[in-house]
Amino acid sequence: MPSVLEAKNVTKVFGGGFLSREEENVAVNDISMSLDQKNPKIIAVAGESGSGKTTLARLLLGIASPTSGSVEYDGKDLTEISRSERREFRREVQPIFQDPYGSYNPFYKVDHVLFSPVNNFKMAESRDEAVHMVNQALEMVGLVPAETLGRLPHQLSGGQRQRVMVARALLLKPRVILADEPVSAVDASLRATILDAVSRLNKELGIAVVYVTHDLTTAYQISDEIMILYKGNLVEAGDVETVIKKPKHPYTQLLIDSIPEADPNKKWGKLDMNKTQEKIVTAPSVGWRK
Amino acid sequence: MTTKQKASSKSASNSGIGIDVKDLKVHYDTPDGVVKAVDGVSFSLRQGERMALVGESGSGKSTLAMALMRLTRAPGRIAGGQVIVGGQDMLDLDEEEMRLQRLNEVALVPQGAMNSLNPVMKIKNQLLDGLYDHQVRGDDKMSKEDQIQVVEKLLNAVDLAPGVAEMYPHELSGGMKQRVAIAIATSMQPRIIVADEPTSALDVVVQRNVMQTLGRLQEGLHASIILIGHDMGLVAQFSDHVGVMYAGRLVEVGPVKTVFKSPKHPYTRLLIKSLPTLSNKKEFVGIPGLPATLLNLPEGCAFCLRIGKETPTKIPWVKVEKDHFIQECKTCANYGN
Ligand SMILES: Nc1ncnc2c1ncn2[C@@H]1O[C@H](COP(=O)(O)OP(=O)(O)OP(=O)(O)O)[C@@H](O)[C@H]1O
Ligand SMILES: Nc1ncnc2c1ncn2[C@@H]1O[C@H](COP(=O)(O)OP(=O)(O)OP(=O)(O)O)[C@@H](O)[C@H]1O
Ligand SMILES: [Mg+2]
Ligand SMILES: [Mg+2]
Repeated sequence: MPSVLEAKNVTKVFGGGFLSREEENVAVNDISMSLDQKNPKIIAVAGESGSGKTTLARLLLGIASPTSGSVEYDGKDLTEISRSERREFRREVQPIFQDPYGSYNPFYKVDHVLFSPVNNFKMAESRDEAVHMVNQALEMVGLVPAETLGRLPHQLSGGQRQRVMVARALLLKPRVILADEPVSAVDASLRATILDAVSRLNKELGIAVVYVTHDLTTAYQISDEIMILYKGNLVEAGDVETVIKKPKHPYTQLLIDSIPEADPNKKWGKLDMNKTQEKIVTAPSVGWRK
Repeated sequence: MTTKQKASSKSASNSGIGIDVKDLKVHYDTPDGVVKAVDGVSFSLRQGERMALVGESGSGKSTLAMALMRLTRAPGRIAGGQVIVGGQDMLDLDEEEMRLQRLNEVALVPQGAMNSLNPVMKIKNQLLDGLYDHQVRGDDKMSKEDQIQVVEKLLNAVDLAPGVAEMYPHELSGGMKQRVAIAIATSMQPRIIVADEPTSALDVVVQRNVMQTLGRLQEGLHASIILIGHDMGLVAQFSDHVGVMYAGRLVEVGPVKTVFKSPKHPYTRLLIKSLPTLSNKKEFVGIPGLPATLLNLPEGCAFCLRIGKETPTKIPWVKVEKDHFIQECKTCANYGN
């Protein structure tokens, strides 16, 4: 079973090194997952703030290295691949980060984040082709090219900046998209537009997607599988339909219960938070385990 | 003035209306033309009420929030209108008077507030800074004991332990930082709280907690709150009234229950329809067309432009029922019905 990208029992510990007086923080604890080559899926990674979602994504991207375990790209350990393979990896595995502002240089026009990858990876034959590609990618995420290009990052709204980053990832025709909260700053209607675009990339172009989010509703809508993290541990994983409709772990149950429903007549949150928190600590993890 | 005196003078001048915004206009002058990010917005809110302003990204929500605080910066400018709080049009005040009004009368929890805390300053000092900055002139600094007490009280109001006072922002979780931002904004017991997407970076469990805290605080102060965002779920659960913004204009205003039950403007209708839910997997229905262009936007119906129609005349406000109003454009009124 060939995987494009696979995490094997990865653990990431921050702090608490030799002679350090800091306490150890296990951000990701012994997690395995794989992105299948033949059957590219959308896998959602959900969980509360600080549960390790971004850390897991960074491990998969090779930006952070695991304290133990390994991440493999086409069957090769990321820490051992050659420079040219690494370059390929950088194009084929495209990140979309949580904080769109952090990805911009405030002094460069937004054009820069779009055209430089096209140039760096020689995606276009001519300037005209590059412009065409950029325009197309912008339109795919609901942006008007004429109103977006030529602006400085602070001249766009938060949601507009985020969509430029999604467009950037689309430009490189990757095999894997690792999206860390790509739509948290975007309104519901555009969320639909962007996630629909991502979903089509998966279905039509066979791009595997890791969708990191704390929004279970959109995770439910677009993913095939879901992984629920709690304090670095994978507490529940499996087919999205099963996990959302019949959550077994008390933490998954609390997450689902806390979603504000768009119906003023429904009560928000039925579970008692303190009682549930107690149960969470002792409950065993549910679902896929390697 | 002590806090107590202030509180009583506030209730004395309490006429029932918390904030009255009239025909507010905020424009950005760009090389390509004028971006009318807030284009004649009017609404009013009673003391103690909760109103949500929703709208798509780029519809002008943050621009409006900043203008309510008179924090608009170039190339933006307030091009007209009134923002009346406690009988006073805040747009008439000079800079110094306005500085005192901020936090004191109107407080803002800005978009991304938790990321704008000073990283090298202890939480207690950030809380006290806000207070000193807005203390009426001539007031002496507080004694050490008073400081400790005030900080503890402020932290307690947002469910944070006293120990947080001695910490730096990087030692706090997102939810904790957001609580600190809320504590700073409400430290002077404002009449109006404007919260710009206060929980959009937080997960649902923390969101529920933070919103409960914010709601309790607001009720305690009998303040009005303007919640800005685009999470219709949060709006449905938190606020009493909702205003829907499209392309810098309000298109529908009304009680949450009525608007969710029978949205009248086509944009509101689509907004509600496009919400993903956990009860059924459906085709994603985005709102057709591209989001509105605010640059050189003509006077007529902005939503018509989105769906490939044109209604160039100014759109009138129509009362649907008590407290429920829409911008009724004959051309697109039934769109998506
Ligand atoms: N570079 C770092 N150095 C030290 N600790 C870190 C670092 N990055 C993350 N952590 C810690 O690891 C844990 C997991 O953080 P992570 O950012 O992965 O969470 P997350 O699930 O992405 O949260 P959020 O929803 O807030 O983005 C947290 O306790 C965090 O403080
Ligand atoms: N400094 C600026 N110069 C020019 N145009 C600007 C500037 N700041 C904002 N705009 C434009 O004003 C409009 C409104 O922006 P604003 O930030 O108020 O939107 P928003 O509704 O808060 O969006 P979001 O939900 O993404 O935060 C957008 O079209 C934006 O591009
Ligand atoms: Mg994260
Ligand atoms: Mg905004």
